[in-house]
Amino acid sequence: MSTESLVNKEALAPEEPEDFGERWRTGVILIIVADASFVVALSFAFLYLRGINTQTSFHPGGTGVASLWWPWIVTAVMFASFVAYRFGLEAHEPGRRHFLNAGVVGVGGMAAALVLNVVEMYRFPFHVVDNAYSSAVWVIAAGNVFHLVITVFLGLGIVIRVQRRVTRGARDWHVRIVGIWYAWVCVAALIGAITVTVANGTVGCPLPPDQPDPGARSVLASSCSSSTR
Amino acid sequence: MTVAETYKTDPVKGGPDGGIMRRLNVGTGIAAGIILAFVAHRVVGHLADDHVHQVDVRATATMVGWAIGFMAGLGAFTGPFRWMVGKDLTHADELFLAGKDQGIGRYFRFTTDHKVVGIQYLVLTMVMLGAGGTMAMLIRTDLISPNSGFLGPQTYNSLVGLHGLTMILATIIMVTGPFGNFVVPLMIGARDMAFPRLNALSLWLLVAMLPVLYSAAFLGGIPMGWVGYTPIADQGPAGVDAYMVAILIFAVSTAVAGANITTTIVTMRARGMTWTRTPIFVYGVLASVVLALPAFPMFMAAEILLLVDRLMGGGFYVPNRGGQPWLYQNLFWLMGHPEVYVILIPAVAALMELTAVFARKPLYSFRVAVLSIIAIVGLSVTVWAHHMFASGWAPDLNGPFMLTTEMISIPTGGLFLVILGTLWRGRIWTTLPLMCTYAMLWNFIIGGITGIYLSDVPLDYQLHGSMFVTAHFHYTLMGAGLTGAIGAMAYWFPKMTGRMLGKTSGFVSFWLVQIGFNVTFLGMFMVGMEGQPRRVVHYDAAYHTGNLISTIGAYFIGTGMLILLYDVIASWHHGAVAPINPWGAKTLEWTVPNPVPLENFAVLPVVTEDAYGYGEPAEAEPAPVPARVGAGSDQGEGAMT
Repeated sequence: MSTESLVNKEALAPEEPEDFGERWRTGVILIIVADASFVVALSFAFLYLRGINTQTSFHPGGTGVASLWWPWIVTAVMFASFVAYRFGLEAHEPGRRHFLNAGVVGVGGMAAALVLNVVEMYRFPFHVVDNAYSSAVWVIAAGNVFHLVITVFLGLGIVIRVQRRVTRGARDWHVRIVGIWYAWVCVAALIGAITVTVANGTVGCPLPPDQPDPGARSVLASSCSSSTR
Repeated sequence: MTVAETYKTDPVKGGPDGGIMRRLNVGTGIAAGIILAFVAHRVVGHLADDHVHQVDVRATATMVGWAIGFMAGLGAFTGPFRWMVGKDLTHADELFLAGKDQGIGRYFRFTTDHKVVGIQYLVLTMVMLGAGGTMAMLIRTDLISPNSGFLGPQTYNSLVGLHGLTMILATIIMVTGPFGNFVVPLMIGARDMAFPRLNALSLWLLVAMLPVLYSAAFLGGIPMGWVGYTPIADQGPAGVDAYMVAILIFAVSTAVAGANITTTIVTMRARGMTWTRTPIFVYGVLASVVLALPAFPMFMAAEILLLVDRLMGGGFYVPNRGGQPWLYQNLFWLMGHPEVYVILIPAVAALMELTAVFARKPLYSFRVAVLSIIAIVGLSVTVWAHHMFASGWAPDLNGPFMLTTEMISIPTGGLFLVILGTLWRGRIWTTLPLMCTYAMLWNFIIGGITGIYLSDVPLDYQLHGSMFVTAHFHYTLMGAGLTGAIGAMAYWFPKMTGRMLGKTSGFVSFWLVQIGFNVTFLGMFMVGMEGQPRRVVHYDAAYHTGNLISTIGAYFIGTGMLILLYDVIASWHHGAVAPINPWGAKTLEWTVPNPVPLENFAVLPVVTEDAYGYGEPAEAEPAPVPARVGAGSDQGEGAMT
């Protein structure tokens, strides 16, 4: 690398907000790659254990089955929140004052999803110790809670920052980057919901009809035979 | 213009300058960590009083409390908190965080300057290698005779696990940590890392991890070795909790560092630094962190599941509840084998970088080097199950995994050819860094070929779990990886410290370590082939001679390492003052003055050619030593080759 090149005065150009945003976007996507690996590992663990069904004990007949309503409702609320956030992003203007309402709806939706997720875990018709199935469902739900806590933190931060008019210049990118995170946690919740749905399709027998969680009846009695392979 | 300056020209309603952030340092971190650990211990202990797993719950809560308290007390959460409330750090605060005008105190704070973080990583790595090496000496001393009784079986088991884990963690960070942080931004012509606060976070998380890791020694140890295999891990003492929490912290640190380094390299290279002009060391670091990024979360997931098993009675790895230890092995080795290349690629890339400098020749076939690195990264995620041949998992897949494992030797051979081609007919300038290249070639050949033995299914059935395996991976990770890291340290020491590493003691150390290393591990190959199992404290008298030889070799290594440590400390303190570019190298880090200014370059460079234009060997002479330029002087700013 030559001497002349090093004293090229053209090089001293101010950093453009787009460069700043590009850097942040790359960083967040890479963090999401790492997180996605974690989510896929949890999903893999669930499906692997279900597939191998060690000592036919993955989910012995007669023990509780997770409701399919809850993960899908939580996922739907999260997607709705994301759509609200995206809607706010469309109203692009300096300072993003018009974003505020949609941002509040977005973070409120994510907070509601967080509450629903905790309620879901509280209402599981099994304990984490029961079998590998119950442990796996519990961990997937807990993982979603963790995602939602971070999302509410970020969403709240963005709303406060927009309200305080901090999102100007390069910082405008923060609003868009939090939107990328919103999208990812929705995808992660979807992966979790699909995993539980796929696993539920072949495990366990329904609990007695008087058990409190309606979702627990979503497994047909005809599939019980597959639980004792 | 720096990011900090961008903020300056874009004034916002920030918080006031200063505040409690400027009073936080490692001391407040330790105090807060101890307080929160104590609170967590009491509160969680009270809540889990009648819990069947209360010992593990209490131990884990204490360790997590320590880590969170330490990071909070250090100031790691100040930035995110102020971001959330919309009171960003001011320009003055950013400069304070970068360590401007703080002297040695900046090494004991949450400092964001990549050069400070690089030095902190270097010291941390040396501490970890020292701790792991001391354990190795104790292990080898115990093995000096079949029933020496030097260590009890429990202590021996614990030491073997802690030694393994310490060394693996240290070798993972030993190149990408110190040199990836200090050198890479300079090498690509950037002013700092992409996310300076994440940079400091990744470092201090490791510092928070160390007390957690070593608390295992006082909590019953980690009887399942560094791999943490279940079902022993499910049933082990509270030391296993320390293992899990340490891995979780390490995985977060690695993810953060990986995202940061990757973003820096991808988005912050100097103008004109196209991918074909990017130095090979940058590729090595990039490959390492890109590989680590998805690999370590797998390990993290394995430990989370183990945590649920141990703390809550979950059933992931418990067969009578539908769990399966093979699940752990799969998740572990999905991380474990790529991790070998996370260690090796940057070390070998550092040696390729410096080989071109000391051979005074362009790097031979730069594109083969890059393609080999890419191929290794791609193949390394397809070979994990060769570690599980003997476990009985999926025998039908043994053939495919044998094939992929053997295939990875092809691009690895490509890297050898690049180094040999670079050395061929070069004007060799024999220095300690280049000696490390020679040593790596010798050691890695042995480590690589014995690796091919182990990838062969029938032979693996014979050798699995024996000392042969131990010798093999020491030849790769220590013989190639650590040797590469030592070469990198010797090469970049002048830029990092402003001093030259002592020559004589460096060479003495080199020969002691390399001779000792080969004596130790060739002896270990011998007893391994004869059938001595690894991780066993008492062995048959038939293996005595081989073990005696290995222990004598280990003492040579220990002596050599102590001399190297002395050399580093003494040279750092009062070694010869280093010129800006003592090796006559052509990469950008050698164009900035010593000590490197806070923002690296007065004028950002524009790159017009690749970094290996040393010309033909017949014409090349070692570059004359440039005149010394004081830090911050006009001459030094944006200095040149």
